[in-house]
Amino acid sequence: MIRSQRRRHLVMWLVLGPLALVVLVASVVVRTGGTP
Amino acid sequence: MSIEYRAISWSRPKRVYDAIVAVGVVLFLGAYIGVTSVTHTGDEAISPPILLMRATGACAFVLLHIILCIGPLARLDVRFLPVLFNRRHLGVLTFLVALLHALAAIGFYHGFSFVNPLLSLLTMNTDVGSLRGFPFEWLGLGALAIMFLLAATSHDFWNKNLGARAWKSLHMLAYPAYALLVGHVALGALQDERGPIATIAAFCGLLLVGGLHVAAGVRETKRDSGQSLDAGGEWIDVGSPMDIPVDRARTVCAPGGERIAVFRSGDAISAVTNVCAHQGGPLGEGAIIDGCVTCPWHGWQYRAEDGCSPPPFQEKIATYEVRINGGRVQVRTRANAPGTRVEPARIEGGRTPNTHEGDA
Repeated sequence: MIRSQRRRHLVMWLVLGPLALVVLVASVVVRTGGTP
Repeated sequence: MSIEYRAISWSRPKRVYDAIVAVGVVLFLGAYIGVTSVTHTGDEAISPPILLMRATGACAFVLLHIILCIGPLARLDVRFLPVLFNRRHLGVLTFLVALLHALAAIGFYHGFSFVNPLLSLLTMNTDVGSLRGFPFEWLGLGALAIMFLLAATSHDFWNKNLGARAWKSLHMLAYPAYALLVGHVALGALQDERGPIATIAAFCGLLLVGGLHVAAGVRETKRDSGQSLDAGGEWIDVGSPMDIPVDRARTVCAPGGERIAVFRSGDAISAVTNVCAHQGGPLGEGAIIDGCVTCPWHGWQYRAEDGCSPPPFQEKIATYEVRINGGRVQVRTRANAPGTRVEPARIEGGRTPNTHEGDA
């Protein structure tokens, strides 16, 4: 990859990685457990 | 490489790859349905349509994890390169499995109304202010739309017409698709889970994908740092000629951040950009095969001395001036126009000379 793509790749991960983790944690916090 | 359009240039490795993946998907679906049928009985029994929906959803999610792990794994260990070769086939299959999941879900939950199923999906729940009741289906639909776009443009036809740079940027949308799917799973399927296994698996998947990318990034950052420039800032030190393995390359990083692959073939040393014209593959991790620099990702080839693909192919990549100075290989930081011929630096008698002729 060229430099700008590597940078975009990094920024994407820095934003999306923690965001996905936060959503995952939040989903566990609010979970009640439903019927299968 | 191909000079004419073909839907797929089938080869034995591709057939084997696709067969292994197809068998893997069937086994996964069978195992998921089998195990869930055994563990969920009586009041907890799951109806076949929902079981199919869950199995295909889980399968697509796992496949996307595998796809996202292949890139960093191949950068960390060359033994994973064969898996990367047909990654696009895996991507298309992932979309098809995800589509099956979407059709099963929409058909089961929205197919029995007089309202258009897709419209029903988009309008049935609009509670975006609640995390617990969030319309997670929207996230899945968004991810599916991205996966469709990526699958539809996965062919080299689109790569060639969009250009390698735009194509690669487009296919980086796989990461937003993954983030959407994490949200889709977390706010959807995991909300109905009573046990911790699925949640733990989702966490492990995210940490695995993220961890591998961080590990590959750290390794490349270390490799890129510490480049030694000459006093004029025009030449980068690559090392002793013998430090470059025969028919392989050492990669250095120019001050602007672009990487340069310095190859040694016999007593000749040449430098080209590290970026393949096809999909931006790391040429410096490839080898010289049949006298040409060969990309480790898909085998695209270029002559080291002028960056041109051998006839009848017409691709060109940038070249760099190389010299041997004081027994050290040096490469000029400024790139030549793609296809510019550069006389290779020669190792005298296969041994490291002390000076380059310009300094004598």
